[in-house]
Amino acid sequence: MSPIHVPQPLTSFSTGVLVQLAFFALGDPEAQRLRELGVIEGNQIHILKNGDSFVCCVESSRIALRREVAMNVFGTPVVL
Amino acid sequence: MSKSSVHTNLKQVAKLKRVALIGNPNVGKTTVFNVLTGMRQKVGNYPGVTVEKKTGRMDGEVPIEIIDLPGSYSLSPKSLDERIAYDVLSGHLANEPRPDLVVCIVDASNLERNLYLVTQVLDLGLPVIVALNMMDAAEAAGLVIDLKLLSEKLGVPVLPMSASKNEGIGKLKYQIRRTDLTVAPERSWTLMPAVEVEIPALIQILAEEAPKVPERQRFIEVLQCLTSDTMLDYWNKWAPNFQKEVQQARLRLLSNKVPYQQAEVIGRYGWLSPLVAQVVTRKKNVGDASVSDKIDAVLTHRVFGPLFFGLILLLIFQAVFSWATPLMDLIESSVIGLGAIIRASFPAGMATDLLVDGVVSGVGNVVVFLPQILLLFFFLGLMEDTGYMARSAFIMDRLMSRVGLGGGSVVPLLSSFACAIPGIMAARTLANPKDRLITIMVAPLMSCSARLPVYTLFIAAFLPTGKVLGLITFQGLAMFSMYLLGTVMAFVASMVLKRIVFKGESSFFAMELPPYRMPRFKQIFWRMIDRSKAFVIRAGKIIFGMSIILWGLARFPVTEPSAEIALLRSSADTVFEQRVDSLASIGVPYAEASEQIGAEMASRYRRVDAAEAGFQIEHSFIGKIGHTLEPVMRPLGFDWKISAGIVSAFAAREVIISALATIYSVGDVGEDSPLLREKLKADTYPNGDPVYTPLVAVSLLVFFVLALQCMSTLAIAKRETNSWKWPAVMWLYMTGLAYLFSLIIYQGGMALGWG
Repeated sequence: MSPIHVPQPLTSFSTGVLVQLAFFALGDPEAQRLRELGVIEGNQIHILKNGDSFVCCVESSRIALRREVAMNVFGTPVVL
Repeated sequence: MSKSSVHTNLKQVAKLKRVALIGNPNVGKTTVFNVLTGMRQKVGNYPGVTVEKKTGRMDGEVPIEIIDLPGSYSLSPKSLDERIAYDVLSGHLANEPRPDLVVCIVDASNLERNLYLVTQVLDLGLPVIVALNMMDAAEAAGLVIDLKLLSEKLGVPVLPMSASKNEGIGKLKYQIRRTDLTVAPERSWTLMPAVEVEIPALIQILAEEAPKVPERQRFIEVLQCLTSDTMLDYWNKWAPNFQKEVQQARLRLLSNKVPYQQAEVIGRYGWLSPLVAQVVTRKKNVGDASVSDKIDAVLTHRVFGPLFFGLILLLIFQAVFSWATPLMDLIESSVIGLGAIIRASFPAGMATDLLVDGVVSGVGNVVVFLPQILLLFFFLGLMEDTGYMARSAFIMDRLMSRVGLGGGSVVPLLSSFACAIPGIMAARTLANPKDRLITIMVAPLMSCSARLPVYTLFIAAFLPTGKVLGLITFQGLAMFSMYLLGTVMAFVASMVLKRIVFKGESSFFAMELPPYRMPRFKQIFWRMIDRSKAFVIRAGKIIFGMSIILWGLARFPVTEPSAEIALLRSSADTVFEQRVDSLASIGVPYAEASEQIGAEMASRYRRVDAAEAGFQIEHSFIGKIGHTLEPVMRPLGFDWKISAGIVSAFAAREVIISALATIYSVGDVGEDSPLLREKLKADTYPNGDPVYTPLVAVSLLVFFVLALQCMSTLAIAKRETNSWKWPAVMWLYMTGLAYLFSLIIYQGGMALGWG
């Protein structure tokens, strides 16, 4: 795996992966809502469920996203 | 803030200190409120847990008022809840000054996100206390928080707490009672330079035009206006110049391609993120699966999830429709009994008629729905309190997005099966205003409990008994079809609204799934009582009033019976006299004779009474209205009596039962009354054709599924959308649909020879 990651949509990661959020390809109000929920560029999230629907773990809270929303949130995997 | 304004603040404290509680959803705010006030909440409202403002008193030498604000992720108003929270804190509400102290309840296990709201509150320039709740959960998650450092950085007291275990409450109470709390320090974060330079001039204009805005609050007002149109609209009246300047500033920023909409989030998090990193030490990986995650693995599973949800729904409907029946029967028979007692103990006449037919049956009409509504609210409360509600929205989101709605609309639409009013109010929790409006517009299509009596009466009277596949009855199937038709039409309507009225809206769904917890039955019980009380009062006023008006419309103008009917009575009287006389002639005492003959001729006299009452109705106002409408309703298969019933039902659907009962002059009727059912079946047109055929019944049932016949729904929709435009559209499209469908069914049925 190359050391420099190109950001990928959240839906491309498998469950259990820790992802560093890079940017949102969403409208302003939607992006704002995500940030208020704690899904913020630069933050790290765990992918809990990725399939028909999408759930991620931010700090200790669980955030559910519609798949179309998760597809427009981009991040890079964090290698521990 | 200047010294003098600190003084005025302290003076208010001496009067009645008002303390506002604010925090993200699911941080235990309601628990803190309960513990502080030691009483149940006064203004419980429809789903969303804390939609409306609630207040309570905290015990102590000095009375302190605690205001529980709706749970919000930020003060930038997106949903109505957040708008209410900001309005209370900023003193934008009429007759309500700003609170004297704000207590921010913060989830210690999710500090960064929670502190975002805190930084917004700090900018209001009020005294602030930060209560770090759920310390136990944070410790369990392996987080260590440097409280002293956090307090220093924020410049306000920070208290650790675990409200559910009653830990740290005493210290919070002590801090709330303190009278020497100073206002929060000025902001130490900055906006991006291009936006920051616009701020001072705007603050200056606001200060000149609206001097009543406290000095320290001006910055956040400017910021809110810069990013939100609803906040800007507020200044229409108060500061038109300020409004213009803000719009110009927006244009300047836009032309320079400054992402000013995001400036606030970037600025606040730019300050917060390093702060949190400094304050919090992590001992353990937070990605470990919790108990909630394990439950979710099943309950939000792509197969088991919807299955379980379906099961829950089935249980709720079963409960609402069958467990409630014995209680409803009891209420119905007591209403009839009460009417009989009143008739027996008061002299017959206009006043007694009004009391029994108008008032008692009017109140009965409302109360009879209470068991169903209580049960529905109980189950909704249970779903809310355990945290399952959020999952139901999540599970249903995929399906709902296909029809133009989001998962968040599930609960409002489900509530509408009980009554559209709580359903429409529950739509408040939707963040997207378009989704909210669509949900409000289609909610009344879900078959509410008020349609149930109408379904019951007509299905029982006119649809065949018998079973399909030896299992399901025709009548049960018909009932199910009514619910299905309403639901399908609601989906179709929302699809059309989404495509035509609000086209081009991106689909969005992001929601927090709070941890599961054991239900707190005491809280669920009181919330259920509060919500039902609100329903009874709101709906009761209208149905009660309508019952009296209806009674008046049927009773006036007083008409002399026709010669034919007069002859019926006089001939009955003649027979009566003759028979009494003949009995008397063989030596029976007169009183005894008349009693005996009276009993023998009771049914004949009842027929005469009914004929007179029927004649009266036909020539009353309501009869005239029915006759006037008959030409329009005839193509749907409805005669003047049904038309009159439908007109009266436009106030509230279930009124049609009492209206038909009045028209057919059967006393004391419920929808199961065989008497009314038989009368309906026996009714014919002058040429001998029956008025009610199964086809007419189906046409009428479909009309009731689709038509918006509920004044309360219109009133609540007006209140929630803040204009008469949407209720008007709602009424027109639903009534239009009803007419169209009934027309197609009746005319189609006639053409096929089913009439």
